[in-house]
Amino acid sequence: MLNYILKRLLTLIPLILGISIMSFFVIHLAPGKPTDIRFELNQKVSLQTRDRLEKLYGLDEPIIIQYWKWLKRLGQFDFGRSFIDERPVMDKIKERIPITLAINLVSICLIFLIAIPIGVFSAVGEGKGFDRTMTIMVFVGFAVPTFWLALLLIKLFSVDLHWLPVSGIRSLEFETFNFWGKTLDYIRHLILPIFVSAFTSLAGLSRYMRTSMFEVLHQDYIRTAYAKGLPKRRIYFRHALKNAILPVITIVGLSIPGLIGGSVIFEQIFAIPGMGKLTYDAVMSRDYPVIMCVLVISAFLTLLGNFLADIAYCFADPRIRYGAKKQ
Amino acid sequence: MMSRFFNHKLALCGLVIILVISAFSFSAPLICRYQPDDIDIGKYLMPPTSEHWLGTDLLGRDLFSRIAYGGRISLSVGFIAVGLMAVVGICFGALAGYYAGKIDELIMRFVDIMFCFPRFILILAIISMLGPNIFIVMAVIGLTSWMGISRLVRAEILSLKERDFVLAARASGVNDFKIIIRHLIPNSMGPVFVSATLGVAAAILLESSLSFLGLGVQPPTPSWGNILMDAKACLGVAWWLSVFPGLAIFFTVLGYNLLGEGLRDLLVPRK
Amino acid sequence: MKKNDLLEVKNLKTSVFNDQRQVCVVDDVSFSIYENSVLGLVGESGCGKTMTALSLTKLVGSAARFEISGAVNFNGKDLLSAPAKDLLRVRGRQITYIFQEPSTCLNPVLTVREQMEEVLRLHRKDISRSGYDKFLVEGLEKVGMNFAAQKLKTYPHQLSGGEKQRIMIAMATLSRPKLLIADEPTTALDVTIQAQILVLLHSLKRELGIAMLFISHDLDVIGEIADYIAVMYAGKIVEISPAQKLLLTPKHPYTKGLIDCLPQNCKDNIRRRKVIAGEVPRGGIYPAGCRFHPRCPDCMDKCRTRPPPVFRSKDAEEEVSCWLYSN
Repeated sequence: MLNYILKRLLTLIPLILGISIMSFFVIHLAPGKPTDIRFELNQKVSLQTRDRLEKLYGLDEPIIIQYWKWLKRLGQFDFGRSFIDERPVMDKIKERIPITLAINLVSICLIFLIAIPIGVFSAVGEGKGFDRTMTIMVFVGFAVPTFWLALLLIKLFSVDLHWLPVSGIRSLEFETFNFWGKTLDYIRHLILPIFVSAFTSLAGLSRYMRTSMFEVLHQDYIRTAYAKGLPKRRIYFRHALKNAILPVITIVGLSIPGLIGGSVIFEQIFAIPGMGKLTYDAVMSRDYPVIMCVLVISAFLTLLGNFLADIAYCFADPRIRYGAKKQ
Repeated sequence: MMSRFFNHKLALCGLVIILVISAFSFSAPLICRYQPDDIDIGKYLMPPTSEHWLGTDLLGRDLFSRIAYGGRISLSVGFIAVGLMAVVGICFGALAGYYAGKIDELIMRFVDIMFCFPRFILILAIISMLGPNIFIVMAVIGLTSWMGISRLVRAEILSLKERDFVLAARASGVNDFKIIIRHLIPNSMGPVFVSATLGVAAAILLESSLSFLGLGVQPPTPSWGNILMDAKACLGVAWWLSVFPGLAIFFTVLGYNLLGEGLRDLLVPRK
Repeated sequence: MKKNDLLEVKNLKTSVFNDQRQVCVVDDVSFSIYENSVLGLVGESGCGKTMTALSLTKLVGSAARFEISGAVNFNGKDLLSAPAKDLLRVRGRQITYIFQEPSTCLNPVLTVREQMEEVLRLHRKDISRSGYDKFLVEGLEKVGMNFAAQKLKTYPHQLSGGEKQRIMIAMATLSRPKLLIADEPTTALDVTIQAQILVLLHSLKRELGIAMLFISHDLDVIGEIADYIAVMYAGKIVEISPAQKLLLTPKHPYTKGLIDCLPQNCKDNIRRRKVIAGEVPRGGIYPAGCRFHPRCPDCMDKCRTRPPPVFRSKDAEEEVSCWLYSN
C-alpha cells in the first residue's frame, strides 16, 4: 500500500514538470513580439505589456534560462504582481479561493447525495418508468448550457418572482442581520449558483452511477446474495452499492477540472467574488500574471484531486488495500 | 446496419434534430426576411410578431435572422474544431499505438499532462494571449480536446496491429505509413466516430460559453453565445432574447448527444 | 425401498427474454428429489441445467427477465406460486445453493465473516449474537478449512479457489438446509481440490442428511456422488434412472454417447476417443421432433417429426424419452 502511494507520487514528477513546460509555452503566446502579426488594434499597448512581461519572466534571455527561472518561481509559488493593482498575485488568489472552494464543495456533496440514489434506482428498475424519465433528464442535463440555465433561473426567480437576489453573495444590509439572518442571506444568494454549478455534473454522475450499478447487479455474487434469501433492499444497498460506488470515487477527481471551469461562468453571471470571477476579470483586462497563476494552480489542483481520489480508491477497495501486502 | 440505425429511436431522433437545425441555418438567406445586422432603432425590443417571428433585440435587429445566421457560425465552429480534434487525435493515437515503446510513452505522457489542465481555463489563458477571434476559438477548442480520441485510437491500434491482415501486410513489405493509413486507422474508426459526434456537441457548448463571456465569436458577427450575452442585459424586459437562442443551443447539443449515444450502441461492441 | 419426496418438480417451463425475444431454456421438465439422496443432473453446457436449478426458487430473476410455469412442490407447498415473502423463507434457509465459480460468487468488498454472519442473522434466530464467532469457526472447520478463525477476517481475494468453495459450502450449510443445490461445484477447481470437495459434499449428505441436486457436465463426477441421475438435452430431460443402472445400461442414445465419451471407455489407443457429432442447439431454436435427432446415430423417421413421450419401466424407476422404447 505504502509502496503504491510512493510509486504513484513518483509518477507525479514528470506531470508536474510537464505542466510547468506547457504553461511556460502559453506565456510565450503573449502578444508584443515585434515580428508577430497581431490582431491588436493598439500595437503600443501590446508593446508595453511585452515590456512588463519581459521584466517579469526575463523574456530576453536564452530560453533555457527563462524556463529555469520560471521553474524556480513556481517552486516558491511566486507569480509576480498583478498588472492592474500591483498586488502580489498569490495574495489575490488566496483571498478569492475560499468562496469558490466552498461553493464547489457544497455542490459536490449535493451532486453525490442526489446522483447516487438516482443511479441506483434507475439501474434497479431498468427500463421502467423512473429509469426512462431519468434517462431523458440526463440527456436534457447534458444539453442545457449552464449559463443559459443561470439566465433563465435569474429571470424566473429574481427578476419576475423577486424571491431571490439577482447577484452577489450578500445583501447591502447584511451587517444589520443577526446570525440566522446572515445565514439565510447567504443561502438566498448562493442557492442558484450552487444549483447551476451542480447541474451538469449531476446528469453525468447519475448516468455513471447507473452504469456501474447495472454492471454490479449482473455479477455472480449478487446471485449468491439472492440465493441466501436476503431481502432486496439489503442486496441493493449493501452488496451491490458497496461495489458500484468504488469507481465513482475516482470520478470526484475527474470532475475537478469541470468544476473549476464552470466556476468562471457562474461566478461571472452571479457576480460572486471568487477565483472564477478573478479569472474572468484577469482575462478581460489581460492581467497575464494572474492568468498564469490561475492556469498553473488549477492544473495542480486537478493533479492533486486525481491523486487523492486514486489513493482513496485504494483504501476503499479491499482487493487493492490487502492485495499489495500479500505479493 | 442501416436498418438497425433506423430502428434506434434515440439516434434517429438526434439525426432528425440535427438535420432540421442545419437546414434551417444553412438556408438562412432563403428563409430570412432581414439581414442579421440590419439595424432598425425604431423597432427595438419588439416581442415576437408576424413581422419579426422571434422578436427583435436592443438595436432592432431581427432575432430570427440572427439565430439562423448565428447557427451557421456556431455549427461551423463545432465542425471545424472537431475536425481538428479528430485529425490531431488520430495522428497521435496512431503513432503511439503503432510504434509503441518510447514514442508511445512520450505521447501518452503528453496526453496526461494535457488532461491536467482544466480545459476551460486553458482555453481562456490561450485566448487571453492571442485575442478572441473566430478562427482562434476553433483552433483552441480543437487543440485542447484531442486527447480522448488519441487514447481510443491507440488502444484500438494496439489490438489491431497483431491481427492477421496487418501481419500479412507487414510481411509482404508494405511500409508503415501505408499500413497505418490503409489498414489500422480505417478499422479503428468506430469509437472515433462516436466521440467526434459527441465532440461536436461539446464544442458547440464551449463556443457558446466563450461567446457568452465575450471571449469567443466577436460582435457584430452573430453566434448563439453572443446573442445571449446581449440578452443578459435585457433580462427583465425581453424574455424572447434569452429563450430562443438558448433553445437553439439546447436542441443542437441534444441532437448530437443523442446521435452520438446511438452510434455508440451500434458501432462500439460491448464487452 | 420406498423413498419420500422432498421436492417434486412438475412440468417446469422457464423462458428468458433476450433482446425482446423469448427463449425457452427449460421445457416441460419433471423430476423428484428424495430425502437424503442426491440427484445428479448431467448434460452438455448450454442445455438448461443451471436454469433448471435457478428456476426452482425463482432465482433466474437476478440475471434476466423471465417467465416460469409449472409447479415445484417442496414440503407440500408450491414454491412457484408462493408469495415472495414465503419464498424468501425457503430460499437460503431450506434450499441453499453453491455455484460454479467460487472466485466470482463471493462479494469482493465484504469480509468472509460479514458474508457468513448475514446468513445466521437471517436464518438462525436460535443462535445469539455472542455465539456467532464460535459457530462460524466451527462451520468453517466442518468444511475442512484450516486456520478458520483467521480466515473469517479475510476478504475473498485473499483466499484460494478451493478455500472460497469451502466457504460457499459452509455458508450453504449454516442454515441447516434440507436441500443443497450444487451447480457444477467442482468444475472451476484443480483436480485434487475437486476430489476433496466431492468427499466433503459426500460427508455432508451422510452426516447432515442433506439432499442434493448435483449439476455437472461430467458424468464421472456425477457417478461418484449421485443416487439418481437425470440426463438433460436441449431444455428437456431425456432419461432418469438410478445411478448404477444408468451408467451400466444407458437407454437414451444421448446418454450412451455421454458414457462413450468418458476417458476410461476408450481403452485401446488406436480407437480415438468417441465424440457425439454436432452441437447443442443454441438460442432456443430447437429441431422439430426429437430434439436430439440430428445428432442421433439411431435416428428413425418418426424422430424427425414427432417429439417422443416419456416411457417408464415397469418398476417406474427408469424413465426415458426416446422412440426406441415405444413398445
